[in-house]
Amino acid sequence: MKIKSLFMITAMSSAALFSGCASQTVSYGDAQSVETLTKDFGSTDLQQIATKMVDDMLAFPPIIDMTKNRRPVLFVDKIKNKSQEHIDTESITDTIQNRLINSGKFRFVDMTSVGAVADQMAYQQRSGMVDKRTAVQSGSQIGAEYMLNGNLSSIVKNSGGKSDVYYKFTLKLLNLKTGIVEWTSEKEIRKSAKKSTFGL
Amino acid sequence: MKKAVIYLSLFSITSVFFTGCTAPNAMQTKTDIVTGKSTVRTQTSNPVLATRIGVSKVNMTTLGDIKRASLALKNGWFYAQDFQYKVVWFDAEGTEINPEGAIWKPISLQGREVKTIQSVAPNPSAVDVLIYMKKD
Repeated sequence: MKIKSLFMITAMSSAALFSGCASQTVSYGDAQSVETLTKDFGSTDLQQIATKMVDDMLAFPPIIDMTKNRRPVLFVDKIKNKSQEHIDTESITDTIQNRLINSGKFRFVDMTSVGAVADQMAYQQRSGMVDKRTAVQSGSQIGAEYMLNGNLSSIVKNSGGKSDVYYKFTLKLLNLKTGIVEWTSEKEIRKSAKKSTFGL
Repeated sequence: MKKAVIYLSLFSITSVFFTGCTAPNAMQTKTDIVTGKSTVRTQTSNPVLATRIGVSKVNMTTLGDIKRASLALKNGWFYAQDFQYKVVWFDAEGTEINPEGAIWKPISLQGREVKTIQSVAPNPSAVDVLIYMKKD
């Protein structure tokens, strides 16, 4: 009986002790470092894609000629996610847009803000609360000349304890006036995962 | 006692050796303003990686008014080397441009392989690059 009680106390103490060991430590990491937590689409993939697209676009000779004396106006259409994962493709295009604007070679119109801009202009012109001399007048916006759009697809293969995922991101620059694809580029990424035996 | 001292010394040396493995290497270009010629200067803090990976060729080209750096990384070792590199651009005053925009990229070089990495400057004011390398 005494031994049984001793075992009970030891077991309960151990449970209490080890439950305290399951604590979480949080720390800041480098947002630009390579992330290989899982083989799902991640931050490193997004960054690699954006870097490749922007580098290729800025290095393409017709684009260099196009941007020699002026900054063409672009808008970003939706990137079709044809992969098997839920991926925020707008995040990829936001990074691409950010880098292209900061290169000083392009300007963008933001189609996602059209509704908000229209609301603000209606407020300024019709609400009666804004000095008409300072209100923004309709019909003065610059029209986009080119459209950026593309696709993100993936191929997943599993065999035993090994799995492989291949991503392909394609981006195109379309001339709105002529319908011609002025530039295109793609980025391929392959990630492999292997399940180890006994977690070793 | 002698054996303990020897083992301790070996352990200390090995610890110092592997501590250097997590630190990044860096190679920087220096563009001559007059001639426009670019040279590579190496800063080493990882002795292991530094002995195996070197820059065999550097080429700085201009795309319109934006620079593109092409560097040939050579694996001087007979076995494959997996490491990461990051390219950072500097302007003529030595100020880093878009420091948080430079990302680490994984790269794998087979034995004795030479692979060219390229980077396009983020804007026309960038003139020189610094390439960091690290091995986790």
